[in-house]
Amino acid sequence: MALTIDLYNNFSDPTVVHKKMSLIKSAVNCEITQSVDVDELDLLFDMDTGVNTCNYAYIAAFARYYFLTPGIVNGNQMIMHASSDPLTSFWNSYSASQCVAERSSSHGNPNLVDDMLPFKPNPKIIVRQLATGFTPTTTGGCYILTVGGK
Amino acid sequence: MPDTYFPCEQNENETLPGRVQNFWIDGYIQEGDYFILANFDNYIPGDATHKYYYFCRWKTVSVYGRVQNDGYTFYMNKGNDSDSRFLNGIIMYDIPNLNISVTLTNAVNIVYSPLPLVSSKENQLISFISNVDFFSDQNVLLINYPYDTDDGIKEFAINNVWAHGTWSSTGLSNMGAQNYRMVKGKMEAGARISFYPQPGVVDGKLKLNVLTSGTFDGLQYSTDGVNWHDSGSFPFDFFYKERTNENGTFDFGLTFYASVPVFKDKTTAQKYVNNDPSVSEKDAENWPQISGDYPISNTTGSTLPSSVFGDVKLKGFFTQQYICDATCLQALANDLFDTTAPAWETIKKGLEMYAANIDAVMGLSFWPFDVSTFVGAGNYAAAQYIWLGGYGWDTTGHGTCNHIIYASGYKDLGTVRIIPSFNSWRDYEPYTKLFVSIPFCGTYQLDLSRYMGKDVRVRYWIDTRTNGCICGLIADGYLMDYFNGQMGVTMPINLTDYTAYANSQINTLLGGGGQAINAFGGATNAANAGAVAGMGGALLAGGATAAIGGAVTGAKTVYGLTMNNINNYNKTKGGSSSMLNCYLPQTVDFFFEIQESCEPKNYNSMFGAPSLTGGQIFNFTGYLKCQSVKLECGIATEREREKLKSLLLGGVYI
Repeated sequence: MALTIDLYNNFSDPTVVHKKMSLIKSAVNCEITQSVDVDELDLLFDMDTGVNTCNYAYIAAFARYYFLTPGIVNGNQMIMHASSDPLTSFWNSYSASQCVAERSSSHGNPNLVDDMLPFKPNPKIIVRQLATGFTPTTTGGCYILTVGGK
Repeated sequence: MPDTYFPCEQNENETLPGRVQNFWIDGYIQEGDYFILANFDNYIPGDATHKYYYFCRWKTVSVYGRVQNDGYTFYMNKGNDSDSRFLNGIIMYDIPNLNISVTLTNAVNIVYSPLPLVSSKENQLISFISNVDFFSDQNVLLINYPYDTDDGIKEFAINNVWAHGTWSSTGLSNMGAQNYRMVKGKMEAGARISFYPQPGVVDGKLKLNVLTSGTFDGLQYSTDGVNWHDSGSFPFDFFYKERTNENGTFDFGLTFYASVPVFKDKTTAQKYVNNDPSVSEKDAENWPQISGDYPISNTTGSTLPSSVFGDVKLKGFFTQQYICDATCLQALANDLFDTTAPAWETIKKGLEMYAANIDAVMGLSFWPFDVSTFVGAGNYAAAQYIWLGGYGWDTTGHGTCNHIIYASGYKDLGTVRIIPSFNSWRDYEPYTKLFVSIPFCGTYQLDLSRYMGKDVRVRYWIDTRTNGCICGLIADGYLMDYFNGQMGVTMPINLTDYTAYANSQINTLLGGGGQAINAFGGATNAANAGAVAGMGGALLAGGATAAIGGAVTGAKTVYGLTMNNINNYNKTKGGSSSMLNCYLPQTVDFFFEIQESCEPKNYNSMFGAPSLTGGQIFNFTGYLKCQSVKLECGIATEREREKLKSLLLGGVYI
């Protein structure tokens, strides 16, 4: 089966939704040599497509982004394994899903203890002092005499 | 120029002015001040058609704003025109991915924080606002707590966002209750409002019926907060927590804060509005929220506005106390021991009931301040004579001397406000600890949670007869903690006194440091000290037997004190007695021991923070690690769905 795909260089980690990528070549022809499912493909390219310098692709026919892994090189052809990236591919679909965040950069709860936060071993001491105190000096004190008397 | 900006976190990937985290407003906006919300965006990345700008201005009239597109609604209003200090309501719900920048112009006493505020009755409504999570699927009912005017009339304003009807793309519509969503007016003295839940309608479909009694004046209702309409009667009879959207009926996770009492049933609510004395606001299910009392589930006992302190006026009859300076005392001692003085025979005659003249002197203590400032005016008077038995020793020309009439009184040393450093969990134990060093009482660790956000008053009470003192820490009018101490320094007068005085010093040496490890060593030294003290006392009295007895007594006492301190070493870190206290710091010091974090600068963007916030995934930015996710992704295969879920549960960057 022949396909047309766009080839990219992806600079982001697989856990990044909006990946930083640059388009290397668009509308590149290839053929599917083997597929388990639409999310896992083996694609056959001509070497002159420059696919050997790419690690990411978009296949419009499947509406998916794929991670590309180099496979067998046979003469002027190369097989690349393509594994779908659902995190980026389906953002517009799953982003409306309900979730409960365990950790979040934008929705941190200041009432919940963060047990990942590292602490310095030595605590900081802050002192707040009342302005008024006692003055046990020769002039600041007094004596109380208790006597038997009327 | 704006005075204050709300905290914004710049999103480097967007050109928007910033993203507001959870924020709250605390303070007063006065007449003529402006509260401006600007650049209110409903922004969905990649979809420019959903970007709206909104401008809301709050001055001296009610202001209501609404963004109708996509059903995102924002209200802001000031419900009471005569008193512009109170921000009566901010209601925002179902606003995904809200981007907002806020500018305060000419605002007075405004503080801001990305963190919740501890509730108190005074700023209760403001606190309610602070607890709203603008990013979650909450809608909130805010009901203004009626407050009294000078003539007893209570003004009120109710914003009812609970309603039922049809939910359309432009928001709420076709709702019978909507027309009366905002109500304000005045309640004559004795008039009341109460709620009670409609039986059989529970939880997500909670319906609260309203009961009123008495006379209401100036009733007005509004659908938009701008246009108000007069109403001859209370214009609604229930609130209903249910909404319907284009997909059908659904409920919201609801945060319900009301300052109008909600009773368990109609019978109780009816009694309340009928002014039945058997039912008061305190019987309301939401009384803890109304009053701000905690623990919120404990309704036993009665509430007190503040601690009630005793006021004792203790008068001496056979013994008298005088506040003297050193000149006066020295002159008195000279006369008592001077057998050649002309008045000697007169003195002896006046003191016939005593074996020796000195026996009439029963106690002498040094106090590290002017005791008259504690005892207070009217409780002491200038004394010309110090009466020793029947002999009046003339103080004229011998310094100053005041007779204590009533040995009572206290003195406030001042107030410290305990404020949070982080406005988060880090402000509490074990991450922040609070200690207090109290002169003459010692150093103690305080339960920080009891003092946070409060003004803590330090008050001393003294007992001139025992030389003891109590230092109390008073917060919000309540005595939170108090500590005993020894403030007066006992001055030895005879052998017995001297031995006790020495023991007191030894007690200080052993117990004051509170260190069990040194206790036995201290015992040896203390025994020696006791012996010396006893010997010293004996020499003063001229008897060797007494010296030995003093030494033995001192040693026995020391041993007992030592064992006592071994068993109780961890109960105090101070509490010294007598003169040694005077060498220690003489001010009350509050020590905050704060654990400092050492996280990398990008900690939050890389790891986030504990959240436990519910919402749609696109509400979140930066790092997101889901605790659970109800994945809806139409075109993904089952394997991709599992992979996606695994990624979201493991943590992703949005």
